[in-house]
Parts: sequence; structure tokens; C-alpha cells
Amino acid sequence: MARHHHAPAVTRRAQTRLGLLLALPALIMTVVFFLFPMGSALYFSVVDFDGIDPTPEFVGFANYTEMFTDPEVWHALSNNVIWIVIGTAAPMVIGLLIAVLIWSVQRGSVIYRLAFFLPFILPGVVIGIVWTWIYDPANGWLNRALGAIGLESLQRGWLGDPSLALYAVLATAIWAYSAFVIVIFLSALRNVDIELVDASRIDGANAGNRLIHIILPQIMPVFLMVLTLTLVGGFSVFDIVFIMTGGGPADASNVLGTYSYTQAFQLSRIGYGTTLALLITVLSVPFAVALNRLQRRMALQETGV
Amino acid sequence: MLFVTAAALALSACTGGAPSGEAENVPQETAAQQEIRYMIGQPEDPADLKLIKEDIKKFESENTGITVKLDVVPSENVRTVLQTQLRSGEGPDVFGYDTGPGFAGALARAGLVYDLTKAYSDNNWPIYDFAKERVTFDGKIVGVPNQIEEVGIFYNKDIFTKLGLAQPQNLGDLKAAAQKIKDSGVTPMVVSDKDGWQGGHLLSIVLSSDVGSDGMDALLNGEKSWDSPEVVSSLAVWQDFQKSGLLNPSPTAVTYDSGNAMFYSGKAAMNPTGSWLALDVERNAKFEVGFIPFPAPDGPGIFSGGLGSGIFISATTKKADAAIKFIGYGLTEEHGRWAVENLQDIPAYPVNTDGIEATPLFKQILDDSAKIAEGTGDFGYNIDVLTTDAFNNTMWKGVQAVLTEQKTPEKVAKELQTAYEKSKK
Amino acid sequence: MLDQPTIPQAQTATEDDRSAVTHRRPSPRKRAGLAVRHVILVVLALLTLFPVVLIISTVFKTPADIRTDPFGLFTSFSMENLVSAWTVGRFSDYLLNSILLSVPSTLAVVAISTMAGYAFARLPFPGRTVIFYTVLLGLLVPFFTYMIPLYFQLRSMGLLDTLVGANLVLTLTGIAFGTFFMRAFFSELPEELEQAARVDGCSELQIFLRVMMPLTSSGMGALAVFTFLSNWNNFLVPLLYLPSGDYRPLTTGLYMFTGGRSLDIGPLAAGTLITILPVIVLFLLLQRQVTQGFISGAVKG
Repeated sequence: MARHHHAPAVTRRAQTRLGLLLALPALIMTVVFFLFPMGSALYFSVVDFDGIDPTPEFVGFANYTEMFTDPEVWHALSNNVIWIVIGTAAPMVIGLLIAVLIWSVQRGSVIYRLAFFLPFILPGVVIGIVWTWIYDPANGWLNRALGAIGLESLQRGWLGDPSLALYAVLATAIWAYSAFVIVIFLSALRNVDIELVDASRIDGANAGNRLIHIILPQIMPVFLMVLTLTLVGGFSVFDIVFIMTGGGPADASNVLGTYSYTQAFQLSRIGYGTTLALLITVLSVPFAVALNRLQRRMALQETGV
Repeated sequence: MLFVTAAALALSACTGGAPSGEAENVPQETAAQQEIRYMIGQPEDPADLKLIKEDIKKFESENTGITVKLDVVPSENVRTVLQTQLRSGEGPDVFGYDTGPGFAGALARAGLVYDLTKAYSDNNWPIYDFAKERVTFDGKIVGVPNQIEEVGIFYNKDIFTKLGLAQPQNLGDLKAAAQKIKDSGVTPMVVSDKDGWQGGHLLSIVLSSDVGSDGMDALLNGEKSWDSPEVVSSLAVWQDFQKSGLLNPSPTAVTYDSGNAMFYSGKAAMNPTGSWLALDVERNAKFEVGFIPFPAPDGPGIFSGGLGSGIFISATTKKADAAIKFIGYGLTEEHGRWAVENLQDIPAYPVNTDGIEATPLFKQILDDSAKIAEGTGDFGYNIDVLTTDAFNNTMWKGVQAVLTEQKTPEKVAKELQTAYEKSKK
Repeated sequence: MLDQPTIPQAQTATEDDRSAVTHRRPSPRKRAGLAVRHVILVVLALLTLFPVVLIISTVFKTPADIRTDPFGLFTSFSMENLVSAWTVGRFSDYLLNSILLSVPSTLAVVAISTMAGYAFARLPFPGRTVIFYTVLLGLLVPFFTYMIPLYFQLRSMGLLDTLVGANLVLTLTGIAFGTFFMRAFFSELPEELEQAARVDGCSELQIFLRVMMPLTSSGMGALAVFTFLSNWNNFLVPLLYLPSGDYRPLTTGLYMFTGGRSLDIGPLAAGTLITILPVIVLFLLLQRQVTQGFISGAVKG
């Protein structure tokens, strides 16, 4: 019976009532704690608010003008870009290689999965703290290890070296994020048609070719999805930079997130800090949307195949 | 009209509501049993918190009509939390805060602190004159200084003796001594500046010795520009030391803890920091330690420092008497000796230190500060308790930039002046 | 189609099947290749786990040892750091606060998301699409956008510095993803079940509670684990919305320890261990749910 196209009015009414009821909590939370403050954010960006005075002065676009002419904004943004580019590429490559490696040995993969995923479940604070120890110039293991293998010349101040600080923090983030990528790819690799891989091996394709031309296309949707997540997250990175360098030394490793936070909560420049936060939003949302669309399109193509 | 009201209401909801009106004559509670709220920033040593709580219990047992509720706030949040609460009328009755025009002074200007001038004269509180001055604004004494801090250089006497070095009498001596220490394979001076706040002390000690307290006064009052040659040269001292290899490599990568560890283990001969570390130094250094001011170009220099924090009463408190009793409890001779022995505080009033359990190092520090406080010496200033957050931010980042050579001392000095002017608006 | 959230046990069986079917007895060259790959993996795994090893080593050193050689591996043994972190360092309080922040908000997220997910997946009502995308907006927009104004809003609502306030914020940050996640689960369930239940005389509410919801219990489980982990590890929310020390959880407690002027790498390490131990235990016990949660979440995202 094709009843599902002609549900009785009673059922429809009941469904409407229940639907609204069940959706209500989510909606209320969203409106009160998300939409309303988002609106306030726009208000904050056009006033000069110090967090205390309840009637702050309206300053029009002054915050925006300041933001576009503030050299530190461009500097922080360039750090974000570096973070996004390297912080996306490196975990993808490393994660994919390790996932393929685990997949290809098959035995013990459960244990490997456990070991490699662990970094991702640790809180950013903890990761930041322990890696700060590793980077400690006097006692930390990085310099120690370098010294032990005779590479003293490579020893550095790492987190205190303005030209290296950002990259040091980034390396730590890559360590943690690769974990996530590995597990995702492992799961996706299970769906890869191993016959194709074997066939290509018989045909004489080497490991590299097999990887790029056979395996990769089969996991492309997952690949793109990871790409989206990393790209979007790259503009709002905060925790780990804040813990390891606080944006320093002397703003060398400042990113938009830490800059916004320090302006708002350490210097009490709420208006300016909010404006910077809005910049983060404006930058990341289009990427999220665009890549989401791209991913949907590719998923549809997959189904077509 | 309705729309405007609604919008105004909505906007005030955004910003958190209007503060209660000016509290001129706040009606006082007269109940027999009163509870006062006491807010402090987190003590650096968690063990101190336990001691403070015990001290409060002792006060309560001696004053049975008063109970004290202790609120401990992370030290970097104290300013915001306090300001918010005081302005909304929900502040603590008593609180610890930084003395100085940028902090207590700001509260005083906003009418948020209780005028203690009468309490001082009524109770004959024995605070040193110079300390009283630093908590007086617009002719009103609004706070009670907790402790004196000095910032200078701890140095490893054993290493100095071994290398035949005498206590440096001027900047030139210091540099020469450092060079000799470096040649012997030891790091002359350890500078930790990863955390940032050390920068304020680094600048303060060199600058105070160079221009003296008068010069520091002038700088903090705006009479002297932060762009001046002495500020530039003080910043340059650190860059110069760093370039000459007289400091540990990469100071901005070294945390406060790591830096101290280097001193304790003998890897570094000198550690520029404050008297608050004295207890730790006693515990961990297996060698004799001395404490001297950072030398001036032309003389032995003066300690920077003076007041650490102070204790204040909220202007809108309903329990002023109880609060004043609580403060008075902390100003007795007995309490002073307790603070010296247990918290390693240097009280801001004369305390007889005979027979107190303290090591030679700390006794020396106590004596020095007493002399200075009683007028036979000079104290420089710790800049960071006397200026605004924005100025400090510029200063801390500036010193880091000088140490990493990201910026020249001239550039940083200019930034300091700009920051100073901005904060005066 | 994208990866379905199937039970991993089935997958592992397939793996083994495949290896039995497609790999003959490996030739010596292949064996060597396999061994090399294992060696590489083991080395990489050890490097990956090194930071955790470092934490454990540092926790159990004597304070004197830490003063002179803070990071030497396992050079002494003492429980002192744990004790002092737990008592003087207040980490026992922080642990309790972390629990008080993570558990209620996780329960709230699962409850609200399940309800909303069902509504959006299976109950036609006016405005459904609009409301759905509104809730989903939270996925697109980074927390940074509204975190500053939210601070002042909570302040004026009297919720700043309260467990309730912080829990509400944590709940909010979880329901965008949670709703999306549960909706995907519900939309895969066959309509026939619904019809059958209706024929049997169940009300719509009963259909939801007795028929449909139990079928998504694995999804709810995965969501719960995922949300709990996120909230336990959350740093920004307590940093901003619990500024005084009263309800400080482990993450901000650790951060407080790193500032300041005392030499306490030992207790700090102990605090770190206290923070990650529940998470690691949870992970080891429930690793299927954890990884499934992350994977499905990411894949469906």
C-alpha cells in the first residue's frame, strides 16, 4: 500500500506538533547563545568598548579601518596562511603515507591505530605543555637528540626564535592532527578495491604510481573532506599557539586568533578584538561553503560511477 | 520611542548593564556577626595560599564577630574581575591589588576605593612614608601596602670568589666580570623572557639605576619622554649583552623556571630577578648567594622595586569597620614577623627582625630595604605595577624584540612613548 | 556513497578474509619488505608516543631530580608530584569540575541533538528546512565569531562564572554537529518501521521513543563519546566563561600552572597526567566508539 504518500491529516498534525516540539530546544539554544551574540558582534565592531562602560562610544567604521591598516593584522594573517598551507599539506601527506603503510601490513593494525590516534584525543593544553618541554633549549629532548647525533649546529631556541617559533608550534600541531588524518584514511582505505591495486602491481606500476593513480582517486571524497576541515580550522587556530608561545616572541608567531584574544581580553579593546574575530569568520566561511559544495559534487559523481 | 527604548535595553544587555550609582554614604551593617569578602590574586606559590588561609582563621578566632570569605582569582584576571565587580556594586569588601597610578590610582579616580586617611591616623598604622605616598591619590590615602619588593641580581658568590671577582661597582665592572665568567665556560647571566613579564623587570632595573628614582618619577609622570637616551641605552644594554654572548642563547625561549634552574645548578652565575625568589634560592642553591642592584654606568646602582601590591577596601562596602579591623590585624609587629618568617614578605613598615628565622641572604635583603625605606637609600621603580596594561604589553613585547634583535632599542623606546601617550588619554 | 557507519568488527573480518584470499605465502623479498614496513611503523609509533612517555617519566621523578634534570627519562621515582598536584595544586578540585562540565553538557547535547535530528529527518513541519539550516549554521561559523559578545551576554544574564553558564555554552557548541550527525542516522531508517508502528496504534511520540530512537543507539553512543571528549578537552570555554577560580576545570587549571613564578614542572606534569588519564582510559575501553564517532562525524560533515 502506497500509504506514505497520503498520510492522514491526523498524522500530519501530530507530526507537526511533535516535530516543532523536538526541534525547539535546539532552536532556542541556537537563537539565544549563537544568533544573538552574533548580532552583538556586529554591534561591538562599531563601538569603542572597554568591557566596563555600559554605553560605549559609537565609532562607525573606525575599527575596520584600523584593522585594514594595522600591520600586525597582515602579519598575523600571513602566519595563518602559512599555517593553513603547511598545516593542511603536511598532515595529509604524512597521514596518507602512514595510513597506507598500516593498511599494507594489515597485521597489528589495531595496535598501530591505537598508537597513532592517541595524540588527537589529548587536549591542546597538554600537547602544548609537553611539546614546550621538548623544545626547551637547555634541557629539552629536541636539542638533546640533535646534540647526541652530532648535529649541535642545528640546535636552536625554537619557541623563542622569532623566525622559527611559528613553525615549531605548527610541527606540534601536525603531529597531533596527522593522527586524525591517519585514522580517517585507514577507514576510507578499507573501501578501496584491492583487486585494482593488485592488478596494477601485476601490470608493473610501482608503489608511487599505485598510490597516486589507483588509491587516491578512490578515497578522494574523504580526502577533500579532510582538506575542508583543516582549511577552515586554520583561520581560527588558537589553543596551541596561545599555550606554546602566546603569539610571541614579540608577536612573531601571532595568528588572528591570538591577536583577537589579546586585544579583547588582555588589552580590553573589545570592539577591535571583535572586529578581528569577524575577519576570521569572513575568511573561513566561504572556504567552508565552497569546499562543502565541491565535496557534495564529487560524492554525487561517485554515486554516478 | 518604544523602539529606541527597546534598542537601548537590548544594547545594555549586550554590554552588561549600568553600574550602580556613586556610593558616597553607604549605609553600614550593624549586625553582630558580619562576613567580609576578601579577594586576592592567586599567590605564586600555592603553599602560600594555605598559610594565608591559616592566617585568616587566626584573625577570625581573635575577632569572633567577623568571618572572612576568601576569593582567589587567577592573577592575570584580577584586574578585569575586580573592575567588573566593583563597578556593578558587587565587589568584595577587601581586596588585594597593585598600587600605583595605573591600577589603584584608576580605581581611586573612579571612586571605587574607600578613603583610609582617617583609619591611618586613628589606628596609627606604621607604614613607611614613601610607601604611604605610593597609595595616596588626590590627597587621600586609599590603600595599605602589603610588602616591599626589590629587583636586582642574585649572583653566585662561589663562582665570583673562584675567579677572583669583586662585587661589580658599575656597569663596566659588570661587563668585565661577565666576560671573565664567560671565558671560564659558565653562562655569565641567565635571562629568561619566554613568559614576557620578565621584560618589565629587565628594563626597570637598568633604567632605575641609570636615572634614579627622580628620573623614574619624571618618566612615569610624563615629564620625561620614554624616547630619552637613557631609556634607549638601558634597552641597548640587554641587546649588547646578548650580542656579546654574555647571556644564555635564545633568552626568549627560556622560561622563568628554566632560567632559575640554570642558576641553581651553577650553569649560570647571575640571575636578574626579584627578592620574592629569595626563599627558593635558599632552598635550591648549594652555594653562597649575594643580591645586588643592577649597576649604573657610573655607580653601584639602586634596586628597582618598592611596593608590590597593597590591600584596599571597596568604596561601597557595608562593613567598613570589620574591613578596617581585618587590615589592622595585618599591621601588627607580630604579624610582620610572621609574614617575614613564613611568606618571606618584606613588610612595608618597620619590623624588628632580631631572632627571626631567616637565612643570611634574606636578612641582608630585609636590612637593605629597611635602610632604603627609612630614607638612607633610594629605590627605583618596577614599571609594570605603575602603568597600564597597554603600556606593559608594549614594554614586554619590546624587550623580547630587543633580545631577539627583531627591533632596535630606538624603535622600542619610541613605541613606549607612543604607548605612554595613548594611556594618558 | 560515503563510508557508512558500520560496525568495525565486520570490517576487520573482511580485512582478514582479503589477506587470506589475495596474498599467497609471501616470498622472501616480500617478507623483507613487510618487515621493513613494520620497523618503520614501530619507530614512528614510538616517536608518536614519546610525548606521553615524557609526561609519565616527569611525573614520577623526585623534586630534587627535576630541579637539576627536568626531562631525563625515568631517572628517579617519587609519588610526591602527584600528591602535591592533587592537594596543594588543587587538581582534585579541577578533576571534579571537569566532570561537572563534561557530563551534563554531553547529556544535553545527545538529548537535544537526538530530538532535533529525528524532527529534521522524519517529521514534516512548517519551517523545517529553515530551522535546520539555522541550527547548522553553527557548523560553518567559528566559535571566535561570537565568543566575545557571548561573554558579555552571559554576564548580563548572570551566567558568567557559573557551571550552568559554561555547560550551556558547551552544549551549544555541540548541537550543531550533533544534530547533523543524528539526523543522518535517522534518515537512513526505513519508513516501513514507522508505518508499522502507526498501524499498531503508536502515537508519534511513542514511535520516536520506542521504535526509532533505540535503533540509533550506536550513533548516540558515538556522539556521546565524541562530545564528552571534546568538552573534556575544551580550553577556550572555561578560559573565557569561568574567569574566577571557583569552577576551574583541568584544562585551564593546567594553564594556570604554567604562568606564575614558581618552579613546579613536577606537579604540572602530574596535573597533565591527571588530565589525560581519564581520556586515555576511555579511549582504550571504547576505542571503537571514539574512532567511529570521529570518522563518521568527519565523513558526514
